Amino acid sequence: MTAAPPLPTLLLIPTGIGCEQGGYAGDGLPAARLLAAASDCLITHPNVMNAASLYWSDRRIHYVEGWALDRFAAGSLALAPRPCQRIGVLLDAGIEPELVLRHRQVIEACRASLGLTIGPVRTTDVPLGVHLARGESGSSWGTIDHPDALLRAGEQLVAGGATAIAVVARFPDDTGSAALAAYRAGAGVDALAGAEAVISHLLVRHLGIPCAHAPALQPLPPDPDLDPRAAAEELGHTFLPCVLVGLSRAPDLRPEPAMGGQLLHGSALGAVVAPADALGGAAVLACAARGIPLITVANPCLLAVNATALELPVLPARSYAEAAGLVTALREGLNPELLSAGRPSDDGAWHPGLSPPPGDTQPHRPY
Amino acid sequence: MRPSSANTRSEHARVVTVSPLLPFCFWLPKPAHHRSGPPDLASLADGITDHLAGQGWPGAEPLRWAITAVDPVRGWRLEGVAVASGDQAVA
Repeated sequence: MTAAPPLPTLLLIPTGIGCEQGGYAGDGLPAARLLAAASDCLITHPNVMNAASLYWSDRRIHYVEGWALDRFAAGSLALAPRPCQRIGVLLDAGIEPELVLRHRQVIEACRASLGLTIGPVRTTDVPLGVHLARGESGSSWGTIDHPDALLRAGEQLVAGGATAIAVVARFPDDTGSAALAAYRAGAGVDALAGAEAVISHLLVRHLGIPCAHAPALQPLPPDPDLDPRAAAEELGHTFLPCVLVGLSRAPDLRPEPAMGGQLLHGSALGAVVAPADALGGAAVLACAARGIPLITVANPCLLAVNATALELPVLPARSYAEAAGLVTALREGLNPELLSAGRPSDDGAWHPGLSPPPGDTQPHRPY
Repeated sequence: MRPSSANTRSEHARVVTVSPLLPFCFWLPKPAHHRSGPPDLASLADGITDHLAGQGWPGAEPLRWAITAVDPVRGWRLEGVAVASGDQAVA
């Protein structure tokens, strides 16, 4: 018997909202690896994959920045996998010389030890001036004083042959703050994540190529009680290695309608997996509007924007392991409701995003 | 994808001008015709654009946003960051 074809699956763990799993330093990676094995084709974003000095490269996982991911989910961008990218590196002029040297040595190490194609490297003409903030919900966001300098340097990298961009901005050191202490203890929000997303969104929107961000920060004093989920960020001097590895095989971005046999289209998505209380983002809503099965995972965060609040039909899962089971069921053409305890299955209800079983004449209804 | 002249490999000097980044947070009432079901993505995007226009930023484009709360009376709370219009690259 041959294996079922891949089920392109979108994994979302939004940045900067304090998700218990995936809200720290690449701690969504185990879930991504499992879902990649279940689906054979997983599309996810840097917040899930980036673990500073740690990374995992898997050809079944497609590394797509959030701005592009929203448009992929909405069907306005296709993804074109490619064997490698030429990664340009954009350094903030606000980074101190010693930290710049650390980042340049990461670049050299990734060239020498991993064989990645990296260059050119450009520094912005003025410091970017990153500011961090919290929204009314408590989620992190931020802004920069000189977005024009960011985009100018990005353009220079593209002109120099870069097909993807790793951007390193100097972020404010927050040493000693209660928020940082809570994050390191495993009970807080990643204060940097929202501003990182704004920076990478700006670049992708402007240049139309894969981009991802690594913050430059001074090292923190050792903390014997450091939460394991935050530990990956304290292993080295920079957060850059995971970004370079992720971008090295990131798919190209193609405006729809795009033609080609190897392309991944949003219309081919077979499932989307998201935290049960963070369903209010553009990607989830776009997928839901198109009837793509939405698997929600119990993964507490700051928000309570759940299926009941938004009146969304969902397949609830108590863990990413259970979500992987549901993805496998969808991939194999099994009705996932039949495999979930406590869910009604005796009324013929059928998922609106799936083909009905042969002979089924009942109207499609939410599960 | 937003069309951008930035994809060209021109060797000419370029000047990029970008308007400010605009954080926003507001409650968008559910439309009168919205009886039930999930919010419509296009209506949310239009709501953000209208809100920013009302704040003096016509043509601003949401860059990153989400519904961060739902209230039966007030509607959907939308939080995010937008880019003001005028973002352009000129030779």
